[in-house]
Amino acid sequence: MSLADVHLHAQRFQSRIRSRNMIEYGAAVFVVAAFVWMAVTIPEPIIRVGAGLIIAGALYVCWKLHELGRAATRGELDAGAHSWAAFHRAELTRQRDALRTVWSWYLAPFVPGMLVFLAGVSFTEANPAPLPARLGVFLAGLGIMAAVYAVIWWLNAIVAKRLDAEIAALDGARE
Amino acid sequence: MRPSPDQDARYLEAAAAHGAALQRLARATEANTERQRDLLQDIHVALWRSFASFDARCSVRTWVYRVAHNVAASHVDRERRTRAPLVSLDEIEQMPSGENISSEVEESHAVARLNAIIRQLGQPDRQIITLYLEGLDAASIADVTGLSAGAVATRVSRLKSQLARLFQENANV
Repeated sequence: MSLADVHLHAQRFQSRIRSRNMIEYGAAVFVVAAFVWMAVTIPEPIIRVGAGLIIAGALYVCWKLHELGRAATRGELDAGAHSWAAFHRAELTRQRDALRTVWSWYLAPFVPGMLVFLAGVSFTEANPAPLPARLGVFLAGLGIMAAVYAVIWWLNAIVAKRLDAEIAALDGARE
Repeated sequence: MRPSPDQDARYLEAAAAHGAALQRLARATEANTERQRDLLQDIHVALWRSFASFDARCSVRTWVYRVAHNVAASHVDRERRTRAPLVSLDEIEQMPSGENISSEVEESHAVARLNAIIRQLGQPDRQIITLYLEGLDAASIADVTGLSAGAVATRVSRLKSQLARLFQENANV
């Protein structure tokens, strides 16, 4: 490659990183837009509070994704300073730690908002159903939310365990 | 990021000295011609970027190989979600057929088959065999990979005898 080509591709590398981040932020933008619309169109105060909390949770997750992406890019830039084993181990550890902590930075931020929003939808005064029925709707919603969260956590835990095994194998090969 | 004259000069010198080896690594890592070209570009860009922080803590050759193998390893990690699982050399029972290897136009049959084997290997066997084929000794391979020299020597010995077995079996067919 000519030097000019290398400079050009280095600039495109930065653009690719920005594009990769935009795809990850796309889902958050959709969530924020949907709940902004709900907060504006639904007059119930508790539902508006729930929507606001969900928006805050989505923005927090975006910020964490940005931080994780920056860490990954810093790691790539260090490619020459570290042996393959050290570089690879750092990558595996970074990915494993992100998966292990998915509860705290990806799932938990949405919990307050989802609980308040669900309560607002279930117990709204506009709903003529008797209290036991409304309680049933709330508990069913809670159950679905818990099940989805459990599946997400479980899938991430499986991959984190696989990464743990790879890290252990790598440590064994370095001895 | 404004490049420094040192960074450009170091890159040009390294690319002249090791460009062919980087090309061989890209061929051994990626079968698809287009992705191979992208990988080679990524390696060159990473190498150029890395020379902004090169501090002579190791030889230029070691630095170049570290960058190249780290980029190639990241490429394999990203691609492996859509590929067949990687294996150890012991698990490869027979020489890959040359019928579907499009790069055979440019490579000899033996090199094409060797690259096909290497692409199936997991890490660090993949790194060790490609560095060995570039003529690096066990100590130099250990420097690039971060593995112990003893572990490298043991793996090189095993890899050589397994490769000899595969090529011998293919010759007898």
